[in-house]
Amino acid sequence: MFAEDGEVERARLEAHVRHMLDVVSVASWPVRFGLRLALVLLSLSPLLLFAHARRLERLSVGERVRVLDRLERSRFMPFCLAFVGWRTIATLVFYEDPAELRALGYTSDERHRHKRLLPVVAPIPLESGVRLVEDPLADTGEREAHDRVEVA
Amino acid sequence: MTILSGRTHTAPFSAEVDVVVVGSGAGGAVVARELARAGLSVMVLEEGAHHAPEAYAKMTPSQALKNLAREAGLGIAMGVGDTPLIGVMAGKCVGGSSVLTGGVCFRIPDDVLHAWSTTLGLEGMTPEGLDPFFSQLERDLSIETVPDAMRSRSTELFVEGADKLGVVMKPLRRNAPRCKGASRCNFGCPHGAKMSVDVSVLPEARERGVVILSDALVERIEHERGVARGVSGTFVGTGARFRIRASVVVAACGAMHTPLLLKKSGLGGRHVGENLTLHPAFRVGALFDERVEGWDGAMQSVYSDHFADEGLTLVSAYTAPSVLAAAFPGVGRAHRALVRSIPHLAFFGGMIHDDPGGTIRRWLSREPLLTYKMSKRDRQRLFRGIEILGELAFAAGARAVLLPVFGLEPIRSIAELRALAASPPPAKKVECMSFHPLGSAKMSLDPRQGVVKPTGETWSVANLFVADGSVLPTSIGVNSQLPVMAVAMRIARGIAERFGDLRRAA
Repeated sequence: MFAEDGEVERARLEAHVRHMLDVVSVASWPVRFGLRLALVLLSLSPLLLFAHARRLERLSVGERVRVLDRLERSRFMPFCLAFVGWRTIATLVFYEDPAELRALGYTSDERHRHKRLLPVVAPIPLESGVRLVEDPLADTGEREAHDRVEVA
Repeated sequence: MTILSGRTHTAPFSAEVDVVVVGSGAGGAVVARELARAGLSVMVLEEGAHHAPEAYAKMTPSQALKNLAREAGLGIAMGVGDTPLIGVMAGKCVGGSSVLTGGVCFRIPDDVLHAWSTTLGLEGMTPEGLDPFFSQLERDLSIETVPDAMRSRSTELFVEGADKLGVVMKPLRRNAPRCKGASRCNFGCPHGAKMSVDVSVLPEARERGVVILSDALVERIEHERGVARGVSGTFVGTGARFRIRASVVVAACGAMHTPLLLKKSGLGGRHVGENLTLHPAFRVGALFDERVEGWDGAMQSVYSDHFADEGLTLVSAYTAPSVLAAAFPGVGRAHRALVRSIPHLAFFGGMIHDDPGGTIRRWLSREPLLTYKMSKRDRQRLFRGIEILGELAFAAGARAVLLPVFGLEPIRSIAELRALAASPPPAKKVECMSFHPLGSAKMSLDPRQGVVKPTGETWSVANLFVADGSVLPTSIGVNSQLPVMAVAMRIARGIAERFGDLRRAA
């Protein structure tokens, strides 16, 4: 699910799974039972979809992706929901990783927009030569210089 | 110290008070404060734990869901027929769902109140009748209009798209006067700026002597000869029993758990747990060439009632990147590429002013079984809403649009959007959320039509009141925190006025 080029390293994956199970642990037992059932369904999905004669975890990454993609598009809702349910939890936890957030450009919890509401506490002396502008990037064209992002 | 944790109680506990309130959310907190102001002794019992507001900043979204939300945020309404599976968010902590809202505060729309007061005959449920309660709460919660400067770029694009299509957007009012625009209000405000009831209403209640007992799961309302006598239950973690005797019992556990508690207590009339509405909410992602970074700014700051006649309210919406990523379609690299585009994505939201279609049932666990059958009219509204949001996105210059349909790849043109609207997928393939479950113990003039009287007292048992979203007789089409608080305040004032009679009846 998260491999960019190759598998995610084992230690990180195990920490990720522990974190997921910790979050799920406070849910009521029917929810936990439902998720466990969904996991069994996911594991058996290559057989149930007549795609492969092996369990999901024994497939290569590329084969897994194809099977999971079919599950998501399935008109049989239990298949679709088994995958979507676990993907939701796994993704939520995975992208909380500070390194992943940094990769998105989410560099800190610092915010800037609210500062536009802050009063200017001291007037700048006229003789200083400093002039305030509302948006320093407004006229420089830098706003358009950011990379375009392609959707797969 | 007036917040006690049940987790430290290993021995049986009993107490006697004038009023016991079950639930510390928007409804319960207001009732407790009002009755304490009237000089009554009040105890509030809360199933969830107490977290100091400073702790919210340290929680990641998943930790917040684990610590503050019911079912770790994994609660769902099971769809009946062609109905989306709807995720239902509700709080389980001191402060209840008010800790997890976006801070948006509306009054109940006039047309809704008009229907309540005329068609349903609920006296006093008029704009004028509720005005004193709304006015006071708006002061208490420091509710103010969100300044334009606090709009995120995501919201600005929402407004730009709306302007091009002639859709009027209006600024929202929120209870977050010192908002720093972290865009993660629904995991507890990290800056203590949002006036959830744990930081706005309960502190005064505590000063006036209200005792809050957290980690206390109420299992039964005790009643004899048609009069409520108190509640009993167990402390979470230790399993020790508690019993609170009271002249008046107020159930304020929200629209999912109040009917469950009534049923467990043998008070499950025909209407208990029926008539549930959810305000099914959906959102559309819009991919732009520019960097949007929608996380910088107020999580929600504008709305539109332009389509109110079609049962739709549009709202700007954003949230934490990991939560956005969790809702993206795709697998492997396709999914990861979408996640990488988050800085370029804006999100636009909408919700349906829905027909009652939900039911709360007891089943195998202490959480209810929630089923929901979406009406044909609401299914049409759902797809109409998605189409409108898609149009706004393309009008704002979006290069691609992510629709909330499982397995659907981003669409890249208005023609694709039109084709989808002309031949929509099954509603059960649509991803929806609910933040406002309402109406499962509805107010009525007649015991054959509802669960509580207009005073909030149940038809089945005297001295037992309900004061939360479950008493609202219909959905309201807008965020429900302030309406719940206003109705709860009205009920509490009624209890205070009649308390002498109620005590004698007990």
